[in-house]
Amino acid sequence: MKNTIKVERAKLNLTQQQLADKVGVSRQTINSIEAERYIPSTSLAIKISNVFDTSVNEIFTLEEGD
Amino acid sequence: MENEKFNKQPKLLGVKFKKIGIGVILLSILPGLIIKSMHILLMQSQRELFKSLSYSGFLIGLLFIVLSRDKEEDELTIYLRLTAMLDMFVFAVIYVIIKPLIVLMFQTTFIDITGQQLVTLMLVGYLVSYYLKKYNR
Repeated sequence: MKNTIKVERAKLNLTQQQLADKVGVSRQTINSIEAERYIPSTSLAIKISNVFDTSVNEIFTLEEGD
Repeated sequence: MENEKFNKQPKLLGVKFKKIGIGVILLSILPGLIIKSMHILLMQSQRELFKSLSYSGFLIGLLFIVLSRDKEEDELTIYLRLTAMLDMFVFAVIYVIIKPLIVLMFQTTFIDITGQQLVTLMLVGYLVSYYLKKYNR
């Protein structure tokens, strides 16, 4: 699953730690999601999309085989 | 949201239980070391009872460490805990299946470990697997 968290973060000038604090997880978790090593739960994906004020579909997109 | 029966995070012990666990392990190991170093003689039955109590203390301490939450506990650490636990279950099943075969093939008992030792191995293995995964996440 691809995501655009890094791009969205850059737009808002947010660090990984700041985003992590906003959604209530650790910085490492945000890093793992950004690096596509971990797929977040639905509730975390919604929290992240709420921070960026966009829909979940715009941030997370399925790849072939997902 | 209502009816979140399956969405609740697993109940873990507080962060301080890591230190309590280490303390319990030290308390269960120290008397044995003191008795050995001071060459105190114990009767066979006393020795067995002492050994059993020490081992139980050691296991309880390990369990406290395993069940205590991290300072930063979130869904990724829960996922890592689950995968580390699965690794150890697979290891235990493979061990139980393979052990009799190795004993039969090599006529050896060097891998013959008790249930208590297997549980210890699983707990220690879980900790190693979890922390490796955690630091490589």
